[in-house]
Amino acid sequence: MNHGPVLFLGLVTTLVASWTGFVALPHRQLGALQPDVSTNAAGAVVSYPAARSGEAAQGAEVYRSLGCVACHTQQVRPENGGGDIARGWGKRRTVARDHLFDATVLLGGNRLGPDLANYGERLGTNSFPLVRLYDPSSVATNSTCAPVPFLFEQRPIRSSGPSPEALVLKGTAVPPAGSEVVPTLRARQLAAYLSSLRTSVELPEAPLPLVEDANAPK
Amino acid sequence: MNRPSPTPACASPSCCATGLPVLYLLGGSILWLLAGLGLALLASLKQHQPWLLASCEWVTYGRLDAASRTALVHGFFSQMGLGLGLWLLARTGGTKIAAPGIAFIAGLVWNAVLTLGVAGILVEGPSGRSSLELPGQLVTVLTVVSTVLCLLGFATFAKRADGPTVPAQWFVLAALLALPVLAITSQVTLSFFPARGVLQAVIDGWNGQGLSLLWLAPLALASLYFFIPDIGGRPLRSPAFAKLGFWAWVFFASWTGAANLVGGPVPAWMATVSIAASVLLLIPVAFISLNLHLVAPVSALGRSTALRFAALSAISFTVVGILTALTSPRCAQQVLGLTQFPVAVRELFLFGFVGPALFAGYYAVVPKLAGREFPCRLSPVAHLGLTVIGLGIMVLSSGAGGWLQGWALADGKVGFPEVSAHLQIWLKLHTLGLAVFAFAQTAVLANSVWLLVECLLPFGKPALALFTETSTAGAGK
Ligand code: HEC
Repeated sequence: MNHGPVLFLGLVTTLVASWTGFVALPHRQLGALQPDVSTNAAGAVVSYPAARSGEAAQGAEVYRSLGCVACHTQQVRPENGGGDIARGWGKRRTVARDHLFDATVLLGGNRLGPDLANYGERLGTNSFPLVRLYDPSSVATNSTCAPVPFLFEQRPIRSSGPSPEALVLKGTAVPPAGSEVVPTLRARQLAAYLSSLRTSVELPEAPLPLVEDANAPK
Repeated sequence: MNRPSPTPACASPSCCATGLPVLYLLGGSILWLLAGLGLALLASLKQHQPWLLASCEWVTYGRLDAASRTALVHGFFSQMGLGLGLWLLARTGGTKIAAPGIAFIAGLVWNAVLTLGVAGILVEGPSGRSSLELPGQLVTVLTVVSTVLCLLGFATFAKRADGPTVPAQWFVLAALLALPVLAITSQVTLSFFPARGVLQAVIDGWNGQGLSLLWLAPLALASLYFFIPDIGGRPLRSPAFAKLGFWAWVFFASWTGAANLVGGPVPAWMATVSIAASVLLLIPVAFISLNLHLVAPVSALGRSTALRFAALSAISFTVVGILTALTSPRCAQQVLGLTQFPVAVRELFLFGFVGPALFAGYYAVVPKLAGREFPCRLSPVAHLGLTVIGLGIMVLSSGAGGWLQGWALADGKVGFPEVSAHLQIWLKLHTLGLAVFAFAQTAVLANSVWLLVECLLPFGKPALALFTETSTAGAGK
């Protein structure tokens, strides 16, 4: 191996092989993925996944730009070995198709916070508690989730009365008398995005379990 | 493989041809190291003190985390590795860096773009691709600049004096070839024509593994392969081992692309291939470790700072190789993946293996190029000692914390608040380790600034005699 050309040829071959394996082949395999179209119980044709609504799609951008992915994954891992499903983070594992329409796919690599792949489902019929963004510890004691109070505005209460959107705050977080804390557009977008996170739809490659354990802890 | 170096690559400060761009890249990287660690320290604090500076959007945790990783990888590791790589090619080839003026300008642009980029991450947010968090347009400039610098490396290699090549050259060339391939591919598929769906994550993962194993690791190994025999004065035992180690490394490292996506929503074969490659990487790790440890000049450790850093690096390399092989299989990833454990492995890789290998080169090369020794003799001792202590605390706290976190998360009956509460103490310890580690690096900054001042002041101490017996010894003798 005293010759430059041999070295070059060897290295180029190795790199091209790796490129083929991790860029070209996956492109062929995943690039053709389409939404799953099926008929639901009511006989209507449904397509999964669907692209996010405008507000939720913008919220995805807020989520990206604040780097929430540094602590939150969005991938439920298969049942064997991991505790994701037992923990109630999802009814089935996450598959490639779930992220088909994400502008930026944020699978995440660290779980300092809980997985959010199905956070919208965990909300149930409740609407997203905006106060969680302003002060996470008001909903979860000693929470280390990143507070984002800059997505809110503290302003004097208008003469027409307090805003229906104003946060109900406790303790030291209560604003001075005569003022209120209201969410900005970005806070509402982020809330719409978080509420839209749900993947419990049966797919051929990821069937739902037959019996659902309603008492699974979170 | 014995051959005398035809001419000393750069023997005096007046010889800017090799000196200036290399010194510039090395010096710039030290500033990025401190900046990156400062950001990392703040991020680490915010992991357990979420209310710290919470009202400022620019320093929200996710942004600090991305900005610190970018500053460290692109500003410190890549820049110092590149500077050393170019120097090594000139030195082993008995020539000077090709087009040093262009190299210098490219270095200036690199630093300018990176400064804008890190500011961009803090002001506008990270891209969400963990291997490339910089804003899109700036990445384009960085891709062009790094490709130019890599081409200059090839041009330098082409100018070499005839004769057999040495391991340090192979490793630098592998790195210089890998970087443009990774940079251009990720640029096109993540930025120009963003891939659909999880393909993004696959390419991001491949790029990240490539930056670590095919770019930074080969540069670090080149430094070890050159400086350990060179300073220790003992030639490599087995060139055949080196050859096997090199090719096996390049081959297996290039197939670890999806190692961090095990269990994730990607085709199963990818994870399987990457796991196999990560385990098989043990083969080159064994070859390279034997190669390096066998020539380890233990008796010479006392008299050379560079050699002590090289020793730390070589030991970390072996440990991190074994640790990776043990924790890559699926059963281990199901528990340890997505926790603080991979953070520990990564820190050992970057700060235990790559960093010290580069610092070995730094302490050996800078005095030669500057024409005088580092002014403070105590500073490198403090640098190494505190690095070991800080790194030890960091790696052990992330490792132990991640281990416990992984097992707790794997048990669906342990509630998340409990998992999170038990992790706090480890996150706090990690901050402590990081603080010690960052403090250690101020030693090298101070020493370097002092050296710079002495060089610039006309009435400093006279320049030392250069190229004494140790430094004229050929690389692969
Ligand atoms: C430093 C790590 C960290 C960062 C950064 C972070 N979080 Fe959290 N997050 C946590 C932790 C820990 C919890 C669990 C405690 C709690 O419920 O608040 C959590 C919980 C949550 C929950 C509730 C999940 C559930 O299952 O009930 C939501 C929603 C959430 N975070 C959203 C966000 C958003 C949006 C961002 C970005 C602005 C963000 N997080 C950034 C750590 C983090």
